[in-house]
Amino acid sequence: MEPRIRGVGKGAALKARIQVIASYLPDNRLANEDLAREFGDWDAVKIYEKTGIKERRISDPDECASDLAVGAARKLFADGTCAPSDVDFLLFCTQSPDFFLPATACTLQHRLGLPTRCGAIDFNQGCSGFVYGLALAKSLIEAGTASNVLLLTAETYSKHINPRDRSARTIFGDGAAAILIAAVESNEVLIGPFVLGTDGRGEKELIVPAGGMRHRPTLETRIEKEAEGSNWRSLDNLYMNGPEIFNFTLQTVPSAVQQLLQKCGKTMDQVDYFVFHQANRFMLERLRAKLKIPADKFCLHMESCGNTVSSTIPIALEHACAEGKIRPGQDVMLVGFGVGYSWAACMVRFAA
Amino acid sequence: MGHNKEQPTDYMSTKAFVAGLAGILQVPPETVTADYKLDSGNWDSVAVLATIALIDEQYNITVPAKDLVSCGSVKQLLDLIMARLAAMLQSND
Repeated sequence: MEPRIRGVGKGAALKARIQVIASYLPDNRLANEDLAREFGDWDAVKIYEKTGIKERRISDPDECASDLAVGAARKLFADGTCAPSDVDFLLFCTQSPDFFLPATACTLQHRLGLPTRCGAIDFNQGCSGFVYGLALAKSLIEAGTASNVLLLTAETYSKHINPRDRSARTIFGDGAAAILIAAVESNEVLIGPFVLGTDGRGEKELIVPAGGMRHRPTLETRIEKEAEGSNWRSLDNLYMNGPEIFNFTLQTVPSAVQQLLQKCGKTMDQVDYFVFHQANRFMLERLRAKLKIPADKFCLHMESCGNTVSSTIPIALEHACAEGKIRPGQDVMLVGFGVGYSWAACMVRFAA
Repeated sequence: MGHNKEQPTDYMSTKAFVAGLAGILQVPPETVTADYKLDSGNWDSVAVLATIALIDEQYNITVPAKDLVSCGSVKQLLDLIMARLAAMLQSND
């Protein structure tokens, strides 16, 4: 594959930049009223007060992560910034792929009409996935391997969640985002620096225990059992230890933020806007207080879609740019954290 | 992220912690004595999350979630925090 490097001027070098973001949510809505009706002893207003979420979008049974990703990518191409024929690398982030194999990215290459000379891979990350995708895209572009990277994040966690696990059903929503990262000539760093981290000791705190090769799905793994807080689930379902994840977040996110500031030589005041993974409002409010970030510089965007895992940050970014909360040339900090445990933080600057 | 030695860990912070806990349990502060029972009626997942935030705010530490969930009384909760603080202080020395 030949990288199409346009004439690079003196002093300037090829830099990766986020060109455009488009998100896509399934049509099906699950409102607090629906949850309250289903679970009887719940109250819609109380659910909102506790979570900051009013409704989530849920994929249909035959609607998979690739379908949501196609929705987001078609919206991105409709914008006119980029044609499918321009894309020379596809990165697809999901933890609910269509198949074990082939990679969903290969399916997506064909469905989106991307050139056959396009590289395409899946990567399995959750809440840190979007920031990891930016790190990969930047590396591909600035090494001269690719010029137009299409990063797609898509998740259908609802298919992992037991219908009687009301805690998980309240928090998570399905969704997707498409992000074009392209090579531009610039003297400035437009994506980065990055702080990346991993602590595999957290593997059991957020997991789908059965279904892979370690623990094959059997009749036994399908047996539903009552767990904490009258939530029901089987080993085939998603399990999340909420309190322990909260502990991990309180210990990890503030230090990742400090490391990133140190790496880019900035103070908190010099960051114009903060977009953290939209896990839940309670967690974000605590992190904001701990880091002393002013409310007007801190993104909260989960009311209409819940926690969409790897898509929360791009969905929030698209919204914040459209609302004028992020303006061209501003320095924005992104922080993703969760399942793995895995975390990633970076700075981004949008096109002027 | 280590424990900040400047953080007050005395009677005042215990008092502020108990006041915060009363808010979480939605009961008057004077009712939250050492032998106040934490049970399935008031010690739900949301209360546990709020208490994790309160402990972080007041003491700048985290305690293992499974230990926190299994606390049966306010005394057990305070003992858990004090043991964790002592361990943190020792590891800082």
